[in-house]
Amino acid sequence: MPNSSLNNNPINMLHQLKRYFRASSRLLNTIEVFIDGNSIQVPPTFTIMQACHKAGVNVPHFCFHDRMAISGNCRMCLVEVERIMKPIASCAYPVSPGMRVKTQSEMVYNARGGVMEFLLANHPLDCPICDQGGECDLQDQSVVYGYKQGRFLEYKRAVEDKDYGPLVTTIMTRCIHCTRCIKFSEEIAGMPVLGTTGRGRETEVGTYIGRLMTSELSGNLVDLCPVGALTNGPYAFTARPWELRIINSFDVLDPMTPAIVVNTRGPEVMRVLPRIHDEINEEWIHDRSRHAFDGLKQQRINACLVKTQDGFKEIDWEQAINMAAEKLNQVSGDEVVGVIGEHMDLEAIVAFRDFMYRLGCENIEARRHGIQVSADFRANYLMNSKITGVDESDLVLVVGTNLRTQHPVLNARIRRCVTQNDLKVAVIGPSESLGYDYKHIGNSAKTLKEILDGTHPFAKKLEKAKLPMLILDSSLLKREDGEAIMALVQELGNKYKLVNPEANWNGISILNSSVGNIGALELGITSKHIPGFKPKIVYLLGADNFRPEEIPEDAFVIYQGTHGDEGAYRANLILPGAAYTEKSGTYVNIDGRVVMGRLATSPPGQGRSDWEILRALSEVMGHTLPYDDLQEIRYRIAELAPHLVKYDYVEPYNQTEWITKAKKGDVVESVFADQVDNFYMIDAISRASPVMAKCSAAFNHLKNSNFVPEFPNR
Amino acid sequence: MLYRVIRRTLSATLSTHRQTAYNNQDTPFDFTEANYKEVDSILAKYPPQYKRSAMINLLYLAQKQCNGWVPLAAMNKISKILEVSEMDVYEVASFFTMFNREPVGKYHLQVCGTTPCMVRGAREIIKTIENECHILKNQTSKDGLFTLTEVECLGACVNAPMIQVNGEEVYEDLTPETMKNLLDMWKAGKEPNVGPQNGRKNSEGPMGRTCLKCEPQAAQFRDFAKVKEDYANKKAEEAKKAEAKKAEEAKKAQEKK
Amino acid sequence: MSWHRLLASKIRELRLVCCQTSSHSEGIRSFISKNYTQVKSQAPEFPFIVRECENAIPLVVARYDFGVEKKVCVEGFSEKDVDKAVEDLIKQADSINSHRETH
Repeated sequence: MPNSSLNNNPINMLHQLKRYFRASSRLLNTIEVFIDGNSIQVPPTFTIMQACHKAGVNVPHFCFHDRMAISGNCRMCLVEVERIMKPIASCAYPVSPGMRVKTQSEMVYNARGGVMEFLLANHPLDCPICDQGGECDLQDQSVVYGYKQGRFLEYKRAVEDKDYGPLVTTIMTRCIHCTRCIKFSEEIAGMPVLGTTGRGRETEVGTYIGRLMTSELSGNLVDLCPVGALTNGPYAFTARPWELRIINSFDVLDPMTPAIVVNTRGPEVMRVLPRIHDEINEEWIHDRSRHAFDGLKQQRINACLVKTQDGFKEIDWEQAINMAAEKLNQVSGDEVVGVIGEHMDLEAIVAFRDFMYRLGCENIEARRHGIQVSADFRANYLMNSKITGVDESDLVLVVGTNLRTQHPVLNARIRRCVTQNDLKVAVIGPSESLGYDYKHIGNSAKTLKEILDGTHPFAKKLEKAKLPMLILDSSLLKREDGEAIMALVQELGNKYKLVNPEANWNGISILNSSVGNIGALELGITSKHIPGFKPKIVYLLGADNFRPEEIPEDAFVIYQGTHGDEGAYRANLILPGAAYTEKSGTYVNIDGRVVMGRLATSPPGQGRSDWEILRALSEVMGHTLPYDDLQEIRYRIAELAPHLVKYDYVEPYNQTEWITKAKKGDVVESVFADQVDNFYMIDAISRASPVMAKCSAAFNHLKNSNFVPEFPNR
Repeated sequence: MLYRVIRRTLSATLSTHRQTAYNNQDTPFDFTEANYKEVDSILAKYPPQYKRSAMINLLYLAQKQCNGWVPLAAMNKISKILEVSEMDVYEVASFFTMFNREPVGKYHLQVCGTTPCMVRGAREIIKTIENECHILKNQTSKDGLFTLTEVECLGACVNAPMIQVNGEEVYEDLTPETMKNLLDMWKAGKEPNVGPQNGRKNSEGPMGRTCLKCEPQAAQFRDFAKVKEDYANKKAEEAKKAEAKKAEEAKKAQEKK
Repeated sequence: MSWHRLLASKIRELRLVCCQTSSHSEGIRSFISKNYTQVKSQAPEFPFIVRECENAIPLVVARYDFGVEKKVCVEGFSEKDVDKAVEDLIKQADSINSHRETH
């Protein structure tokens, strides 16, 4: 008990009690560990390396990666622990209360130097020709922790190079057998094709039988490899990391908008790397996001073009805008149709919207071939449970999509939850290998009906699940019976607590196919495509994936975009826009997260930001749009929907009550086919990319999918 | 400095697979009926969720079935039986040097070359085989009969030098002459006697058996059940005696009163 | 309410911006919850766009022909007031639409 003299003062007593409370370690779930004499509190499940990181001490390592299993085979993380004779591999050794760790002692210096000496013993002197130079873990750590000179005088071993495909170039002599690539391909990509064969000096990391790495996430192996054994194939010998500018942006080729880093040198985009973003892509991007950017240098529209008898003729901006204005002035608003493309940023969409409405045109087609969702409430078209909902859910029902080829990064997240959180996955749709065990319960809407009736055995599982998720691919919603399927899903939602107001959980998640779609829906553009309607003028805002028969022969088509693809071929007037790396644009991803993609280079030739073109056109036509710069157009966006200027944030919305009820109808029990016939070529940019063409040729015949292609292979 | 070619041992061969006409993914392989029974009995030894513990056993079974080597198709088959990925099987098969991933001759001659054998002339044995069969180490003879590898100690040091054939039979106490003799017998299709080739019996020394010459006495056979019974009876008697004594004393005490 | 029937024919789009939780958006939130199903049953294709944002000033914006937009700030309004505001916007539709010259 405290001193009686202090007892008299109640405030003092309270302070005393507080002090006892705080000092009691029974209440705090952490233990005390000393790193280099500094005491820190860590949870008892931490390893020494995690404790060192928390204390701000850097421990070098090669084989350790925080998203994969601990191997402990590189031995670079050795530290000294008091009263233990041998150095300890800190990545694998758990902390204990009162442990004293020394990371700066002589034993540690010798250990690190020794390990480095061993690693460099068989490592070739390739730095001048190695792509990893400048960003190589081995270089960096040997400079800091290695000995000045090695003592190895024997012959170094050499290993033959493996062929993993056009994306990952291998120089296996440089491999230090950290086994990160093996762990990645098994644990994250779900394709256990890599392993260590042979033993001792003859150890080789490879597929043993010369398999190609067909995984859609194979590009991430390059990031993982700490040395130059696995290098970026298309990027080989083109640049050094110190020459590159670093621009943090978001990728638009994937509707999840993973966080990326765009590296440019001068006016050229040299490569795209992922950034860590735990709520979207963790640390991975898929191969199209990573490598399709070289399509930005091919087939580019870099000047205004007008179609004449002898092909396309180049004209300047003034002529082009005047021509467009003239054509638009000749028709009334309801004879114009606007089509919003897949990679359009919100600024362009808002400018387009304002411009079209001012003309009197209400026919803005935003959804590729009419995905029948309502833009009224955000819960109708977004992934309501969020990408992070996969971590919380205990049962996922995937309807109508092959997640591995459509959303590989989301698939990797689901795989992690299947192995770590015991998530159960069932699929109605294509029965491809996804990299994890799942139950294939059907392949048409018939199964949905059976689950609703309760006749399907899966219904029981759905009933018992606490936070079930239903991932519905948006391609199902563009079928004839799309709305009926949505109605079916909503009924399922109400019956099986997919929509759970108490837990504020809506498990019905729509996987939209492109950011342009979502952006337009966010801004409220809802016009349906009216079949049989014959417009006189069609304004294609970067729209390339449309059916050519929808545009009448005699319609005047204005195409504003970046690549000479479908849209440009059909166009009568072409206006050069800017691609996603060439403009600062706002995009919305499948979660409803608003992200800002930054501009890395300027558009080639005469290209301009898309909204600027529309602004100019509007002025010439006398309907001047009321914004002159990015700031003002973003104010306009905020006026339409204020959450669209809150970047990197998912604005919560009422997802349990405010849902548009879809109209019930008859579902057609046709098979849900794989919508992506070629993972490597689905939009204008990837179709123009030579790297994607090589990948197509190399991998597609290996991927063995039985699908019904919706569009012929372009 | 002499430029020494470092020959990889046959069993390690290469750490990657070479596609050949006789060994690729499509070469058919299946265990025989009898071997499947063996597979089942092997798998029964391990818990069902740890089927992969049986991997080395199954690989050895496949090697025996295929006359001394494990084809790629066998490894793929085993991966299906054990429900592991194919790479797991490749890793194990390529790690252990006893698994040959390339075909071997009818007689896989494994000559021990470590210290005791070397001291007793293993190098001459190897030379003999090389000359007689016209092969070098890690090669197979043209007639497909003999493959020569040098291996580590096989634990027959008393009978050095020695060879092991096909991982099963051991021929010991060799000299270049007896080695040549063995080779001739094999070439003729005959089966030589297993064990020491110089007439020695097992590992007996040059003086023959010098101790333990007589048979041991008949083993004692203690009938433990009887011993237990005797003990129990003895205990019961003692208990009775003690009771009787107590009764007497009680009587005496009463009489005194 | 009578304006439900007129909604689709008079105006092109009705946008409602509100805050998810604060009290000054109470009125517009209850307006949305009460009227949505009826609006949709009368006019299933009509864009009745609801967008929420924390601490946003609640607005009702009506878009007429040729991109003319009129917005009414409904901060602190009760549900009835919001109803009346929407009705007013619809009533103004005719005059605004005819005022505009067509091409």
